[in-house]
Amino acid sequence: MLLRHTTSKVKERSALTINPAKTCQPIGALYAALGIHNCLPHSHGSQGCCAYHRSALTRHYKEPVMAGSSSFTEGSSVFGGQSNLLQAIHNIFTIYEPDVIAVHTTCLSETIGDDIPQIIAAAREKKIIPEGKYVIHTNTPSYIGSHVNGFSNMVKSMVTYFSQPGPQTKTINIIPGWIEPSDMREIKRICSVMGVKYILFPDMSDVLDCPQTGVFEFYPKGGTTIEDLKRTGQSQMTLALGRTTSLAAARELDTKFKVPCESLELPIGLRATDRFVDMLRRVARVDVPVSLEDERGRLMDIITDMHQYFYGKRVALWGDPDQLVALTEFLVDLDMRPVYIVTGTPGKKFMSRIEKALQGKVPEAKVQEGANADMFLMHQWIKQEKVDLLIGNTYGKYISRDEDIPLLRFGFPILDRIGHSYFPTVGYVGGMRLLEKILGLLMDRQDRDAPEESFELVM
Amino acid sequence: MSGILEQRKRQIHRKGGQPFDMACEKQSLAGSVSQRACVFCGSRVVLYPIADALHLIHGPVGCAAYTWDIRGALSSGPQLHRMSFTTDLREQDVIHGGEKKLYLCLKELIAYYKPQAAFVYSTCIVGVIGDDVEAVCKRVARETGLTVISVASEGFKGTKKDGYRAACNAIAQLVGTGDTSQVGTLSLNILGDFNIAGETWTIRDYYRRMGVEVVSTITGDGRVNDIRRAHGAKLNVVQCSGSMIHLAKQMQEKYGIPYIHVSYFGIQDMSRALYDVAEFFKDRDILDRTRNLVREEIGE
Repeated sequence: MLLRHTTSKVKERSALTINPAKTCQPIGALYAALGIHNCLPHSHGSQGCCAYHRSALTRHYKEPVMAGSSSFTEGSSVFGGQSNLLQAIHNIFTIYEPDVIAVHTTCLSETIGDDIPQIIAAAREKKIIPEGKYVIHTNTPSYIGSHVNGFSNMVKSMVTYFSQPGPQTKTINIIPGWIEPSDMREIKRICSVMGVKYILFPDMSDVLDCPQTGVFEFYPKGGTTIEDLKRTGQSQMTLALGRTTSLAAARELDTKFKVPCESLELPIGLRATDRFVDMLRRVARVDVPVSLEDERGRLMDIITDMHQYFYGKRVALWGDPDQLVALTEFLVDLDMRPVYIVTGTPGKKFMSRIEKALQGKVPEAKVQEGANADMFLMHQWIKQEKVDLLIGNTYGKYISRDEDIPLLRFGFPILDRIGHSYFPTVGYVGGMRLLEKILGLLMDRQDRDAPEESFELVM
Repeated sequence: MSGILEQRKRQIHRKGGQPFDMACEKQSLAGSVSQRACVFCGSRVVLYPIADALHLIHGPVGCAAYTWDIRGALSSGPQLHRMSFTTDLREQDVIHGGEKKLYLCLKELIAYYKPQAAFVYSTCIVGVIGDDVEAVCKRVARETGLTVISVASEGFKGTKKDGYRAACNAIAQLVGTGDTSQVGTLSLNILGDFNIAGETWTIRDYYRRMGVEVVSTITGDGRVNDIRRAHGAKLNVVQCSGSMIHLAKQMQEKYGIPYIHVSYFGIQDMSRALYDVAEFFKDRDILDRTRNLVREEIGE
């Protein structure tokens, strides 16, 4: 028993976090920046931060993740990181030749108070930023919020730095939130089959799910182009998917360029995808093509076939707010019971969003966000009353093993499986995939536990 | 991509050429894409295989999240080292100081998990805001009777190797605090193996078959009470000298324990390591048993 010390009694804790259900802001900013074409993310802090973020992302996406570091020394911590960042900008443009350097801060540089815009201005003055190249930044203090806030901050900075006004176009900005490259690909596909003109940013498809060609591309072909980012200020509207990760950037576009914004939950599951498709249809004034209606119909059919097995099953979920809200609604729609929901990301709105997603149908649900909302708490809840299924990142595997409960890997990070970044969980197709996975786990468990006399070929 | 920066020339090597003098123990040049880690990382990987100790990371959540069971150091008994404990410093803590939070966390953890010792790792932010971690550790030690060791591993203070040194200093505080009356004359410590794939178990078994007592394994499958009596051993056998040479030298200076360097990689190095140890003890039986062992293992 790896977690043998955990007991069912929920221990009052004044300060401690045990087995966190979150990580720090900078990694989110780094991931977001990879969604800009020809961009090198840059970590302004100790070199360890950048090494950790790169390896965490690489372990999840199974792709090389490139980023630079300001490599703080004791000296820079005392005298400030300006000279390190100036040297870094110079070296990066000399050696790696990106179009954009996307700087994010760390707890260290935030606390000593480095003023990044001032340093970028100094770099421009010293002419170490070549003509037509960009250095953008976002503040990501590790002691506020979590990795999803870092993501949100960097996406907002894309608007702050790049978006420009101009005559309004028919384009819709879509901010996809922290989802897999495959999910971004699926959202683009849905837009394409509907004939919707869109700019998706950030876009990690073809950056973190690249085909193996035998040739290493330091900057893969994917990523939102700077031209597209500039044009986001002229779009007819912005659609923010997942308010925790996407709303800040959408509101910035509204404030600065009067591009109105709408926010939807991530299109995970039937109804959330319906709302997404309907929104595209209404704003772009297009019809939903038969092919998409058929996809929806297939998802409906699968739900009908599977419903009897899902009914009443108790589920524990942990991860990031946007994913949890969308997934909760989907599970409740399937008549499953998401009874324990935990996110380490603090945020008051989360509780009301989850409440809405639960639709009053799971009165026994326990939900916690922020302080003390960690995997230790989740485990204690599970010990009090078991669940049938766990859905969350790899860190649930200890609980899965100790309590002998099947685990559906979903969210970030997934460190012990391969393939999750290639198949979507958004859209009707993604919904079908989630259902197939959930049912597979439940049925495998039934098979494993069935006595010989009730072990069945046809289920 | 165009060329290599002058300052990095000795840090990059393409295989196939001449023997190469790699520049190590240097921080990365600002702006370079590198995978060099920080002081905290060095301390964390070296100490975390001590399986019955509490490892509390004093800092924002990231440092704890990224190092949660990432190295796969295996333990044959306790699994406490695979948990992730953090003070999860927030903005208010950074402003007002994190000492109180650290104190409360330590007290709660020690009461709950009853570990054999506790290590408290300092991160960048702790160094900058100036928490007196040492004082908190001492206070908790006094109140609980447990050894609570402050690991000076602020990330920006150097390279991963400086973290190894901080870890060695932390271990050195345990060494010499246990009873060595039961330790025999044919005895050694395994230094610098971290039991990532169970290799510490293999090597410990080899030494056992040779008739040599393994007092402690530092730190693969490590235990606090073994390390406490490590100074009773007659030899330190150091594999990963990058991480452990500092401890070996300290133990030589303080307790007069000699050390040898070995490598456990490949048939030749492995056999050499066992023979070197056998020769050190100048014991005919051990040498005979070692010959037999090597013969059996390589299947001659």
